[in-house]
Amino acid sequence: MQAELVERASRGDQDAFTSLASASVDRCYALAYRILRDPDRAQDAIQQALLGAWRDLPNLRDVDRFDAWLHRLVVHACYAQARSERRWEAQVQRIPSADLSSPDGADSVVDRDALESGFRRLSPEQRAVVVLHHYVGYPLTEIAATLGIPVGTARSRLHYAVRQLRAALDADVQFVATTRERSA
Amino acid sequence: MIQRPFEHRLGEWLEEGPVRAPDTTLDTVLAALPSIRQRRPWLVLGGRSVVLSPRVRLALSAAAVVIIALAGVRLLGTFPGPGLSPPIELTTHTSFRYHYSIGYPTGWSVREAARSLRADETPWADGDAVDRFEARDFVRTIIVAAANVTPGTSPKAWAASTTLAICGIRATEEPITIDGEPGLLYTYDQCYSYFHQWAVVVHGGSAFHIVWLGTSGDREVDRAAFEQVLATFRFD
Repeated sequence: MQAELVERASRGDQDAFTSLASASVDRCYALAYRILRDPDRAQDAIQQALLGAWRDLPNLRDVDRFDAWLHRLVVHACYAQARSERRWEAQVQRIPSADLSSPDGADSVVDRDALESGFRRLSPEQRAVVVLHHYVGYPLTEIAATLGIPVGTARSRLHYAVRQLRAALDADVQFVATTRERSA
Repeated sequence: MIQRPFEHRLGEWLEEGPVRAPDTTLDTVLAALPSIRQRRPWLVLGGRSVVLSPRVRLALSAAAVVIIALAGVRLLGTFPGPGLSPPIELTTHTSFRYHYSIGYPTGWSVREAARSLRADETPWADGDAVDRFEARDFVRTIIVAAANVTPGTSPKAWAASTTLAICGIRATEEPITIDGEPGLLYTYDQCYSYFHQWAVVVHGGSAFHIVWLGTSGDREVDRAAFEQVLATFRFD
């Protein structure tokens, strides 16, 4: 069914493309949002990706790879969005945002804050691999095929990204523990 | 306290956040479709499309450039060069179709639009709905066109359904003022192989495209010259 829609859309059938886009837009947005962490930029990115898909669909050789191809367009649109953001490299100052007197409640908030700030320090390429693996659920081989990179490169990006995120989380846990001791 | 595996915490954190795109997302895309040409494969052999590798495309493009350059030498008796050094001397052109006037580089050719641009139409440089100002060596071109839009349409909304839809990801975006009206200036490093400076502005019920296309490679000159041209733009 999808392959038939792709075939029709690649011949210029706008209704067929509308069906494809409607079925994909939420999934693409969820992906873009998680890479960019910004709703407006995520929206811009998927609009660009979908318009690029329409424009270049006649060049898609394997219609059964439409979903993976669209994911690649979304990821590349995210790269472009990220690079146009001058403050991408901005360092995030850590401020304990939770009520630290309640350790159980604070830990998940600390996790989120630490992951958020750690994630923002990753390169767009690292973010994409983390999201495709830990959110979309792609194995490394599928990530490599989707992004058009060697499996070893995908593995390396994921390894270093996760290591950085772990370090960010550990640092924040240490930071909060120290703050608790001082406030006790 | 039992710590959950890091991967679980990461996965749970990624699960948070929106899973539905804003309603306007798809509307904007679908509205832009009619104005976007699909890129067809370069060759069709025996009814089967053939997609050329980037290297082969590059080789063919390079060959085409050499042929065009040689043709240019024959026509002009010299290699086409930038030939522009701001500040440039400008000549005023007034458009009775689109109700504006603009200063364009003196010596460039002028070809007026033969019909009006539709709101959902791309202002192709080689189309007959644009006013086109072109350097003799074809290295630089300015096109101007306008379409009727609903009053209150913002430059951003106009750009989303036109400019961004054609050229994709912009290199830069900056707010500008054109004859007192707020507008936006987008640049694109490679849009259909041209460096684009694409200004959009809305005046009353008309939304304007004012576009500078260049292949000179000297973007600083292009920027300075286009800035000078935009400063002369007046709504009539």
